[in-house]
Amino acid sequence: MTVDKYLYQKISFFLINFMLVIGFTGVFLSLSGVSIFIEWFLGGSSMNFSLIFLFDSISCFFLSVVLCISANVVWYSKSYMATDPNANRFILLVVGFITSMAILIISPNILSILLGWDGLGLISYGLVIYYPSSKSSSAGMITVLSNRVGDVCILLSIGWFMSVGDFNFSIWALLSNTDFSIWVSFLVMLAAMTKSAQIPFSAWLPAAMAAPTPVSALVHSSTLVTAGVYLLIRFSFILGESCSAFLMFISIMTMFMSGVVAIFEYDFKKIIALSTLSQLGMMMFAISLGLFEVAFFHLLTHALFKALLFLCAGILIHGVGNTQDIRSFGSLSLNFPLVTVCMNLANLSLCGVPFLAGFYSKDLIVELACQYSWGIFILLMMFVCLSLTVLYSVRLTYLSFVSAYGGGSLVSVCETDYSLLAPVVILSFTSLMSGPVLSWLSFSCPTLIFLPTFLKWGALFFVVSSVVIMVSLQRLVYFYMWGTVKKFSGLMWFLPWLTGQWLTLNTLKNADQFLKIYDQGWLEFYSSKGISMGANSMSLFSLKFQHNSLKIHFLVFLVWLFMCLIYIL
Amino acid sequence: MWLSPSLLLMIISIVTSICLVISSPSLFISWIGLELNTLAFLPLLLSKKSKLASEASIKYFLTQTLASVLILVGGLWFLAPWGGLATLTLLLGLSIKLGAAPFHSWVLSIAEASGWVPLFALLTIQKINPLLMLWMFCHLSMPFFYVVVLSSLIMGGLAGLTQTSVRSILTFSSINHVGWLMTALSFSLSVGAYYFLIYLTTLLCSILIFHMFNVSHINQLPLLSFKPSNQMLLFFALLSLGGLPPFLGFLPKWMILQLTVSYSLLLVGGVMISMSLVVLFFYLRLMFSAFMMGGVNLTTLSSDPLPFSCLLCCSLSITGGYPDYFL
Repeated sequence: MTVDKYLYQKISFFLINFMLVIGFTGVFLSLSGVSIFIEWFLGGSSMNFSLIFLFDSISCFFLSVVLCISANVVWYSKSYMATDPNANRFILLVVGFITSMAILIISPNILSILLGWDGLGLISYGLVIYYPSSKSSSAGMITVLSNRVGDVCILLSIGWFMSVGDFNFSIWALLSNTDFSIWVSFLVMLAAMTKSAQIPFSAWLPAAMAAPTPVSALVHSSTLVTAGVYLLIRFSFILGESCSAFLMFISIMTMFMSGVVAIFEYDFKKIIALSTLSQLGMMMFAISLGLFEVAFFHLLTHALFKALLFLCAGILIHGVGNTQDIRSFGSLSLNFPLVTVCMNLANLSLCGVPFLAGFYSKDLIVELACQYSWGIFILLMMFVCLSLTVLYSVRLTYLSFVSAYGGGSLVSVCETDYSLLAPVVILSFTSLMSGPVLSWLSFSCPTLIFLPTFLKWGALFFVVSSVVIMVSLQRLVYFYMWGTVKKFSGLMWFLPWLTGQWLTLNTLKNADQFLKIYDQGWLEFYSSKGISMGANSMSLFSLKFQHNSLKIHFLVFLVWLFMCLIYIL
Repeated sequence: MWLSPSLLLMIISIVTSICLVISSPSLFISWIGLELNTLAFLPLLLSKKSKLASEASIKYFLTQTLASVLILVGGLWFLAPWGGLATLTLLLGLSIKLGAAPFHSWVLSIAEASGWVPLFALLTIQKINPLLMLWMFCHLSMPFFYVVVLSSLIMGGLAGLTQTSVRSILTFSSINHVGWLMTALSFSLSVGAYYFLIYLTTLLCSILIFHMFNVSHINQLPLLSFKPSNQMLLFFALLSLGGLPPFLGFLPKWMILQLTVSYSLLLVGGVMISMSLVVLFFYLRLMFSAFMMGGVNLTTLSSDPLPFSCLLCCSLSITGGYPDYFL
């Protein structure tokens, strides 16, 4: 029971107003090419301590997208969390999350970035463990610990900032060809990889779907996971050759892995999580090619339609009785017409169908990547991942809307709750318009693409052929009898086990030995106990001269006298 | 008892000896002052009238006489062409008088045997004369001086680790403080005088409390007064003696450390810092037994409050540093 009956609406309204202000500021700043720095200088002689807020077109656009999504999500969660007894905690966590994200977006100072970053990690933990079940608790643990690794990398990079003398990241633009800027770029890239769940750290994103659906819409689709990408975009001038090559490899592998796993996945929200992972890989791929503005554009459009996808998923899950297994969905287009329309919009946008949002951003990345000469394997993998995206999206649509109904008999499937539907409709309008509008605002002139014909048609060909393949495969049952491949992909290529249980088990075994033998054993003997025993024995030795015999005292004096005489003479 | 004519005579003689030493331009008159000091202090040691006290006074007399002989011989050798040797012997004799290590072994047995007031006089007032003579007649930059200082610091710290009698603990802490005092004196007289005055104040405070509670051994400390305020008073007095920051005893140590570093005597500074930790440890050990193993109500008598003089002195030692911090 919330304190105020209209609390969610009030928060949502405030966020929408804030979004409009920031949005218009962003448009103004991008058209006039101005950036606003607001700085409070706090002193410091060899280090420059100052609190800075940076408002330029990038941060204003990102902030307005985040606020738009969060306004809709808060309105949505008014009805979604209405029956939940802990709704107060929920709304506090969500508001805290939005604040942390805002701090992260508008700060160029690495210390306040760290504040926002840590706030994001901590509050997302609080949101993932929201439901009191063991699945949520272990998911939360994996989330917060993976994010912690990124925090450590940023803390290490703060040390490098101190060697330069300023905490503002734009100082590195003056120093980008020094010897140690490679450390900062590597550390920041590692931090971004943990936050955006690239390959060694991708176990947490599907697991974090144990959170409530509005949280997934806000956090795990558009804001938390894009914080890493945003950080890399801010540090764009420092990413050198080797970092970009490493990042390219990692992002391609992530895209491929998540695409393959999503085809064999049966949990509705996990499929969407894996599609988020695949698109994050696409964004990282664009960054590794050096296409920072395009990656940012894809970030914004992806945020909008992915949030839309999650909200629709929430309505569907609520509708079929809170089950997330897609085998119990099917033929829902008859009962949820509006949700079907919006979800199809989001899915087609994801696939890159012409003139929807994904086409403007994702297709631009693909075509620009074809123009670079990184090698045929990279190109082929990119197209394969493109087709994988289409494959799992079509599978999702087919299994939830087209195929026969697989759920229970006594459920009420309908969409009458306007508080759930209105955000969905608003987001779908926004996502529809965001593609062309953002491209007109971000790029002052259209990019020149010069490609041979087969590459130009390549993306579209892969999309269409994948649609055809998947629709035909769904009619065949035998496709899903590949046992080994299913097990491998179902366990997400064993990544959660590798980075979770295996790693911790071996490390803890070694740590136990270290503790028993060294820390509580020989190191004690040689350092603390040894020194105290040595001091005590020295003191006991000196007491041997205190046996009350004056002759010994005087003898000692005279011996010293003679020694000094001998030394002098 | 302290104003009885004989003891009053002795006290006046000690004060006269200090005046003699301060105002004499030559070594021999200072030596006369030293002898007067020794002779006048002996009845103070004997004020307790036990066999142990007489043994202590004989030991004191013999040791101080040997030291005076060395001082006189050293002073004589100044007239001969052996200048370095003279300073060395003089320094040796004065160190024996001070009770600095490696010549400290006589102080312990005498300290054990005397009452609290003679102990206080032994540890502070008897040091004034040798320190003044050190400043006046010795070159304080010779290597042997640093040998004495370093060994005083180390011996005072380490040898006090296994002591359980409160008097021995105070003795070894005073040996440690002699190291600090001699270093202070090697910079200038006013620094040395400042350190000495503050040492006197803090030591007075601690000895006053031990005298009030009649504590001689570490296992008598849990039986201290049951009021936590008295225990805290002793605790803060000891911490002030050990030189912990908000108390008075920290100021001179800070000053000397700063001077040590600015004169680049880094080894001495380092040893000072580490040994002051050791000294602080055995003060804290005293208070562990007072705080942690107490709390058992052995009697039902409530203790009478401390006299005002005691409280005044302790307040000076504990909070007296505040005005100076602003200077």
